[in-house]
Formats: sequence, structure tokens, C-alpha cells
Amino acid sequence: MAQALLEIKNLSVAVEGKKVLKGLDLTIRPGEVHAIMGPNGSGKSTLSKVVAGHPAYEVTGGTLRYEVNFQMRDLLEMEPDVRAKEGVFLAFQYPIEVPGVSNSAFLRASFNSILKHQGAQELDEAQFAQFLEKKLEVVKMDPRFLDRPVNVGFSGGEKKRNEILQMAVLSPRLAFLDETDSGLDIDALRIVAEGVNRLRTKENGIVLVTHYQRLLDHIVPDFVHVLADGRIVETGDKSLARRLEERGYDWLVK
Amino acid sequence: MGNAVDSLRQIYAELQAHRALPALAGTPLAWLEREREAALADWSARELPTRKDEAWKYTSLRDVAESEILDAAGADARTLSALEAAGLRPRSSGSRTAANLVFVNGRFVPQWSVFPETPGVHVLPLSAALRAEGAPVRSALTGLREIFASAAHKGAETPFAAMNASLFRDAALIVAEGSVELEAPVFLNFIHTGAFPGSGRLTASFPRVIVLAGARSSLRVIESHGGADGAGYLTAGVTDLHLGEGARLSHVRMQREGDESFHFGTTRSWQSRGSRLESLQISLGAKLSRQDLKVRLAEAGAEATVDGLYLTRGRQHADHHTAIEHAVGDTTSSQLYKGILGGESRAVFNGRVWIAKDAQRSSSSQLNNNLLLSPRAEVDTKPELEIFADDVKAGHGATIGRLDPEHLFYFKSRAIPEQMAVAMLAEGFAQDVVTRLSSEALREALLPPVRAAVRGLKVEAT
Repeated sequence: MAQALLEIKNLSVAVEGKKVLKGLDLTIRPGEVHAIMGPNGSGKSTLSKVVAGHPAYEVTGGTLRYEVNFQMRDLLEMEPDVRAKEGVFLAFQYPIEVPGVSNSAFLRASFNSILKHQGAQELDEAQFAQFLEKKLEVVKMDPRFLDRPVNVGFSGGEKKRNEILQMAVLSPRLAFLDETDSGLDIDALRIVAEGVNRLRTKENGIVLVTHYQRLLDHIVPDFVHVLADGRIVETGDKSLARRLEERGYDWLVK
Repeated sequence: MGNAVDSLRQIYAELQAHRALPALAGTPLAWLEREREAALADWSARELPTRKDEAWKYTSLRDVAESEILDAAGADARTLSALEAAGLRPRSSGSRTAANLVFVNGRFVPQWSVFPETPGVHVLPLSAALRAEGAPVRSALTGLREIFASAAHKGAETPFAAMNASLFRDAALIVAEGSVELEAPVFLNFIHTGAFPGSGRLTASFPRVIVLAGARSSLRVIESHGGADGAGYLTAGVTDLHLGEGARLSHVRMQREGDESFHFGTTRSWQSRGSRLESLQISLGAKLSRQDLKVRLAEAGAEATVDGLYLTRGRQHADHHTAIEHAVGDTTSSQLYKGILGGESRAVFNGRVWIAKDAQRSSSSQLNNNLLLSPRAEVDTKPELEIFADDVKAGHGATIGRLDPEHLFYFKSRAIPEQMAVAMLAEGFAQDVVTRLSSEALREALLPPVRAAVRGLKVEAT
């Protein structure tokens, strides 16, 4: 079996003193797509935020280890920007609007920061524009969105597409997509899903956090997990998602 | 402990005795000599204002009032080579410059200045203009008195503006003849030297600018004030802008004085029918600075966009007082002042808008937005609207906020380190006062120094 990309063991997390995750185990290997489903309040978004390093989430127990140069490193020792430089990505459930900073300047700063971390030459504006042109195709994004401030005045669907554009630019090794499908109409869902499929490689791991089976019709997962009350209570293949769609979560949650 | 007013009075007496003030008798500006005396009577008869004065409630002048003031050195060879060695000689701003006048301690420095002939535009020091034979400059100077007489603004002058009237040594004069359009900016560089740090003394300079934009002319001016960090000095500048019928003037006043200096600037603008002023005041330096901007929309159709940007850190203090007077109807003003504050710095914004009784269909807006990077920084912001007409549009607003931690996390989750995220967010907050300038040449000249200043800002934990 391949070495793990991310190994979470017995993870407990509190937000504002309230326990949200209570002993969660999860292992992601290169090339795998995992779906995490579960009822509202089960801790799905918390898991994504903890992996990305949001400061409001307090890890009270367990370990999060992430492979860097074939060694498993403690993710909690790494600042959020360092995690991103090492290939961790979170597509936000609610992408943040940033007035005054253009989308292209944001993307370039982000990409150059990673190049710098890798010791590579940073791209100037013209070089980056050329590079970006190909990435826009991945999510069929209108280039006019590049001159606008990040996510400001974007529709819900455009924001989600912008997240996947960022993913395409950064080529993460481990991507958590937090309810990227929510608020999307059928066409937008298809475009976003196709974009993610194009970014799926043998080397990277993708985690889809979702409420709905319909995303999994477009991005077929290798594993489906059910998260309930802060723990993974069931793991299966894609057929588990279909059973959940038919029967709900009640049969798993006592 | 010294006394500022006493020592300034003494400087004035010595300058008079040595005939060191501009000799105006027998010139078209003879009346300015009488104003010099009248101003003297005004400022020398009283102490500097204290915080009991409403106009100085949030800005204490104690450090200035208790300093001994010396006359600043002239622009002699030693001073110039010291400035050159300190890297303070203004560099020529490239091909997109119509003229570049340099003044050191209020005195013109011909060898550092370039003012090529531009048809219809006269850029020269007042000292040369008084001797000029050319008809346009002479007639402009002759017309000055009438302009000044009619340009009386509402509200009292600061004592520093009155000191300037008494003690200015030279002035930058810009005269644009009717219908002349000049896209390239005119640069006016004022450099100040100071007394030794820690000596408890300040040297004083009184820079003066006069801009006369003829009817339907179009002109851009960047006035910049700077000096060395650590040096103790006081700058009391006055800038007069006159816009003829249909004239367009962009005026930028950039304050980047040394960190131990005190800067006081008064800008007075007087606008004729259908003229348009675009004013931007940028305050980056000085230990304590105060900008007073007075705009008189004297005739119908006059419009003024009055913007500002202040970046303060450490224990800096920056005060901006604006006063817009809608003297007649169908006049428009809009103000946008933005500030970013770090450390224990303080900023003051006081925006006064006065709409006269019959100034119907006037429109005025005012906005002051502040971003605090430190829990110890403080802003006092106050709109003052006095509206005597009934058919007007007048709005105002003020905000004081901090960087949103969710914004910072979003940047960091995209591999952008905190310091860079702060710089980008601060730049995004600040830059629109520059990017909305109508002239590309001005934007190009101002964005780099503003960006560099914003990038130097640091966020402190709350």
C-alpha cells in the first residue's frame, strides 16, 4: 500500500469550548477520492477547517500527520500558509469576499508564494497571465472575473468556480472541498465537477465534503465515509452514498 | 524650555533688519508686504492654540509651543551637499514631467530644478517672477490681489498660515494661460533640514505655492514635502489655488517629512464657474502633522473632489481639517479620506461643509474610512455640516474597522504569509484614492510611493 498523504488518528476538536470532533480516524492516500457525508452539525466543516489550520478550532486530542518529502510531519506544527505551500488546499464552503484586491493579483501572489517556497523563479505579470489562461478553461471562467476584486459581486456559483480555479492554479497534493456543490445549479455543478475531475491525478488526494449524492454522480469517489457526532461511523464504496440517499442517516445514527 | 511664538517674533525682527524677506515694494505684489505686517499682528499677539480651542481639540501643540525656533539654514552649498549625501535630493521624475522646482528650506535651488519652456504655462519661483518682463506673468501677479480679496474663505486661519504670510522667503508660482492643457505633472519639491536631534530646538521653513489656472486650462501639480528622519524642524506651508472659469486642476500634496518634524499645511482653493478641482492630500511622515484644506465653490457649476490618505505608525499624529464652502447653488463636492493606523498613532479627521442659504441644488458627500492595525491606535472623526439651503443633497459617513481575521485566514490558506496578506489588504483598502485620480501620469507617479508606504505597515495583535 502506498504511503499515506494524510493520516488522522483519534482527532478531537473543540470550537469555543464545545466538542465537535470526538476521536476521528481517517487516512488518505495518493490518487484517492474520499467523500465525507453526514447530517448537519456532525463536524464535516470542522474537519476541513482543522486541516487547513483555521485558528478558531482547538485540537484537544489526537494527531494529524501529513506527508512532506516522504516523511510524515505534524500538520499542527505548520502555519496555515506553510500547509498551503506544502500542498494542502481547502475550497471554502463560503468563499471570502476581499474588496480592493483583484482576483488576478490574489492568484499570482498565491502562486508565486508557492514557487518561492519551492525555490523556483516567480512569474511576472505577463508570464502569469499566460499560465492563467489555460487554467481558466478548467472551470470555463470568463477572463473578466480576473480584474474584479476577489469574490466581490460574484454569484454563489461563480464563487465556487473561483475556488476550483484557485485549486487549478495551485495544484494541491491534498484538497478538501467543503460543500463545493451547495448552491450550484445543474450546469454549474457539472462544470465544477468536470474541473475537479481534470485535477484528479494519481499523486493527489481529494476529499469531498457534501450533503448530497448528486455531486458523487459526477465525481466518483473511491471511499464514502459517514460522519456523525464527531466520528466516522461507517465507511464504504460509492454504493454507500446511494444507500444514504435512499434511507437517510437514521439507520447509522442511534 | 523655549517659547515658539517669542522666537518666531525674534526671527521676523532679524529678517526685517537684514532685509532678508522678499522685497515686494514697487512690484505688483506690494500689497503682500502690507499683508505680511497684518499677519504678524495676528500671530505674534497670542500664544499657540491649546486643546481648549475647538479646532485643536484632538491635536496638542505643546511640543511646538515649548520649543525654541531657529531660522532654517539657507540653500547654501554645504546644506545642499549634506542633503545630497543623505539621499534627499529629489530625483527627476522622468520624461513625464513638465517641470520640477526644488526648494530647500523655502529657498529656490536653481541648480536642482528644471523648468523647460512650455507654451502658455509659466512655472517659476516668485523671486524670478517679480523680475520677469513677460506680460502673462506680470498680469497674473497684478491680478492676484483681486483674486485674494475675493477668495476670502469662511473660518479663521491657523496661526501657522499667518506665520507663513509673514515669513515666507520665496514661492513656487504656476500660471497657466487660458485654454492651455498640460497632461504631464508639474512637480514642486520642498526639502527641509532641521536642528540636531534632542537639542529641543526646531528650525522653521515657510514654503509657499501659488497656482493660477486660467480659464479652461487643464493642469496637474504634485507638491511634495520631505526631510531627514531625526532632524527637528517645523514646516508651515501655504498653498493657494485659483481656478478660472472651466479650469481643471489636479493638485496633490504629499507630506513625507522626517519622523521628528512638525508639519502644518494650509491649502486654499477658490473656484470659478464650471471649474473642477481634484485634490489629494497624502500624509505619510512627520511626528505631528496638520493639514487644513479650504475650498470655496464660488460660482455655479464648480466641482471639487477632495480626497486624502494618511498612514500613521509609532506615535505619529496626523490631523486633517477640511472646509468646503458651497457659496452658490449648483455646486458639487465629494470627499473621501482614508487612513491606516498602527502602533500608538492617532489621526483626526474633521470635515466641515457649509452650504449657503441660496445655494440650492448643491450636492456634497463626505466619507472617512479608517483601518486600525493596532489596539492602541486611535481615530477621532467628526463631520460638521452646516446647511442653510433646503434643496440640497448632503451625505456623510465614517467607519473605523480592523482587518478581518477571516480575510487573513483566506489569504494564508492560499499560501500567502501574514505580512504579505496585511500589505495586500491594506493596499486594497487605501489605493482607490490614488487609482480614482483622473490623470494616468499622476497615478503612475503616486502608486509606487503609496504602495511602498503601505507595505511597510505592520499589524499588531489585538
